[in-house]
Amino acid sequence: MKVELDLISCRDNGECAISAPDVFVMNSEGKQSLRGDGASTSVTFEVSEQFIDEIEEAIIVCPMQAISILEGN
Amino acid sequence: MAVTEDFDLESALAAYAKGKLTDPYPLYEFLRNRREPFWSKEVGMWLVFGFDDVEAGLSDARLKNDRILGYENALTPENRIRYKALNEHLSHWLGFEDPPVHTQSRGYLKEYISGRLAIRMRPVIEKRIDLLLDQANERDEVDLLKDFAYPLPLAIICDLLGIESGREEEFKILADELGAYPGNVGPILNEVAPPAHAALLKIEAFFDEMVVKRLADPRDDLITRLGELNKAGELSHQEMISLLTFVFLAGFGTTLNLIANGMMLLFTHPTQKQRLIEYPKLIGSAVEEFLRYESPIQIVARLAREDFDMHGKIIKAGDYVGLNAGAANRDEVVFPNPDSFDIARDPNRHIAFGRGAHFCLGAPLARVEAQVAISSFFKRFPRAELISSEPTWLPIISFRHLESLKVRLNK
Repeated sequence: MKVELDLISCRDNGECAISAPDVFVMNSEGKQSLRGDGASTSVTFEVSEQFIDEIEEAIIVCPMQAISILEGN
Repeated sequence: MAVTEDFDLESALAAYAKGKLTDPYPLYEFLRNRREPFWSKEVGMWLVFGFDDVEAGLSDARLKNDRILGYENALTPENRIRYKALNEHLSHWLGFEDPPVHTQSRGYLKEYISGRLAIRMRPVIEKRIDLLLDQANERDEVDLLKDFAYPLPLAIICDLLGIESGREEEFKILADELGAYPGNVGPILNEVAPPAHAALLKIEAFFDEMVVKRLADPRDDLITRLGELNKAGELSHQEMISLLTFVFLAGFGTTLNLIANGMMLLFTHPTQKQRLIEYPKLIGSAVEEFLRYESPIQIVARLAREDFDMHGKIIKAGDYVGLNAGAANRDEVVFPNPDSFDIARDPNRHIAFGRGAHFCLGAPLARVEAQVAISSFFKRFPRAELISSEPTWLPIISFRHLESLKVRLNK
């Protein structure tokens, strides 16, 4: 499935890394590791179907509603 | 809908203070456009309407959650002594605590009330909803507030706490009597305190009895967990009882209102309702839009620790500040066409669950309950329609709470 993280909404709360540790990781500075160079407004990436439960949990715990599963996967 | 120049501020404010302003959003917009906080003598607090100010206010260390002094000061000296236990009880609610104490208390709950719990509860929620829809199906007309939005979160929160089935209503009545105390301000607290205090004593006995049972026969519920922490000496008896009443009062009415308000919005916006029926996957973003458009909690109260300036107005130490999330969620600076109800709105960084350290612990559970409840209802009764088109709201300014939601099912 394709998952999108909206980096403008994301405030690095880290809840997703607790709910979906196989998908989201916080870096040593406590920032969302998918941020990269900080230039992009969102990232889209492929996640194996085996992590669907983790992703669903991450979506409902995110305080900023920054995570979504993209349609048409 | 833009506020016109001949907007009648005085009469809108008078109605608002009494909770009688059915549509408060033009007033919110008018005052939000002024930018500065607005002192309402009737409400007894500074009201803040802009998204950026409300968002910043929720994490502002100059604004504290501990408002117990306000309750103590409102009581007569005798009552302050007589009902001391009430103020102590409130003082252990997360909604009255500040870090670092708050961080610790929240930790006791967060371990249990997590995203995992919400996912785990989904089948329980689905089963309960099917049962409620079966009951509704026996009739042609139902009040969705009384028959659907009320019993679902009551059952779920009681299940989560570990209240024995059959005793939910008994507990709910006691919790309401207790909840009337923090729900009021000013001298009226002297009248509300005696029944609230009596209810508190009964609640203590109620939980004490249940804790004994759970410790003898542990289950996966909050009473067992907090009972064990109390037994281990980590949590005082008073803290344990407070956390239990807090979870109930914070989680029940808010979820009820989210479900009822969401359903009302769909009935009054038939195009959006049809869209959801055709694309059920929109339920996730639809619930976020219900939260934004008719936020169950409109005002989050704080108390100023020190004097400070906000857009030219001086807020004094000891002043109440009402952060109006309902108004912030209609701020055009953040939400394009803020008064348009769009179940696919994206992005939607609404503030209905708060922000930062006090961000709603029960948000994941509330989301799952509302998503399942509303999608199941419209799947079963896609042709249901409102009996009366004008929604009536209870006269409370802090909450968006419908009086009833009567529908014809058109099975």
